[in-house]
Amino acid sequence: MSLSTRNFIAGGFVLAALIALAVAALAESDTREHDRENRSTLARAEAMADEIEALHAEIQASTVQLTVPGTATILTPGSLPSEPRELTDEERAAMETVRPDTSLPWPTTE
Amino acid sequence: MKVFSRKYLLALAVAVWAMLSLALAQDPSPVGWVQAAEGEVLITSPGQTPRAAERNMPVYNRDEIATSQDASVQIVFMDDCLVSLGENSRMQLSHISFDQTAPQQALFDVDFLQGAFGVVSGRIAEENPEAFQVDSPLAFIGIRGTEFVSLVEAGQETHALFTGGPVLVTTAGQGDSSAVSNRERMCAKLAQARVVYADAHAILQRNGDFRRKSIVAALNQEAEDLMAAYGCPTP
Repeated sequence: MSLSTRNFIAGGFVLAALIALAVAALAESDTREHDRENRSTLARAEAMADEIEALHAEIQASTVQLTVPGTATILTPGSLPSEPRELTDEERAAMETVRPDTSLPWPTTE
Repeated sequence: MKVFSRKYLLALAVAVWAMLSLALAQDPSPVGWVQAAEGEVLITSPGQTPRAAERNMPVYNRDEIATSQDASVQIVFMDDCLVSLGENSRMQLSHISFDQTAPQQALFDVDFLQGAFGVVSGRIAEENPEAFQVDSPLAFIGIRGTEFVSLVEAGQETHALFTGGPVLVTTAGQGDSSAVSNRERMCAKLAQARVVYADAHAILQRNGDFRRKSIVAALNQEAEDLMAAYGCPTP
């Protein structure tokens, strides 16, 4: 084998190695790019989930649930509803006057 | 002559269209009826002269009902819900719809503007509780099949449970009756989240990142659960 042939083959190997390195670098770059995109995509989704959780918590904090008959909550501008408490006799008497009368005859709608 | 006829026909068509639009906008179907009225009780439909309430009189969406001193009224709605107003009270019927064959599409949305109100909930609260919403200047009230009474005064409101339950009372804001309800805020946020999650799902699927895709799927499921809990309309 002549020297020029050996040089040619060696040059071919070097070139092939360079191409392989370039392809590997590109693939690595693609993977890194995808990984960056995937991480930022998940971060956006998680940020949205955090906003939802915060809003849910805010709504829960501004909500009072009345479960015991005869209890009430009081609201004033700019404050959260008060904790449920029993109606006073005076309040109950005032409210009794406006309770719907379920014994009234049904309207004639014809 | 020919041009005049065309103009005349065009004007006629516009007039007919306007009348039809007005008729449709007024939604002539009653949503409830007066069961009893005492003293001066006025029912006002938008753009019309107030009419004095009397037994069996129908009420419509967007009507405002107002009582004077020593007056009271009780209305029965199409889903059998009863609402009574004490003296010096005002209520607006924002939107009520109930079809017995499709109770899941029902809606009961009224505004207590001022005064004393008693409610015995009907079939909407029973079959689709999320669709039952009473608003007052300071609160959004959701009920789950019950009887409650509200006293709405300037600067203070008292909401009480009488029978059944539960009643959920949520702060509306600074007394601004036009405030967006918490439910609407949450539904808007969840609708936004659906878009974000769908985009994320597509990107992660394309990039083959199945680990992160499963995390997004779990977040999406949580959002779906909240949409159901808040009764958000499905897009």
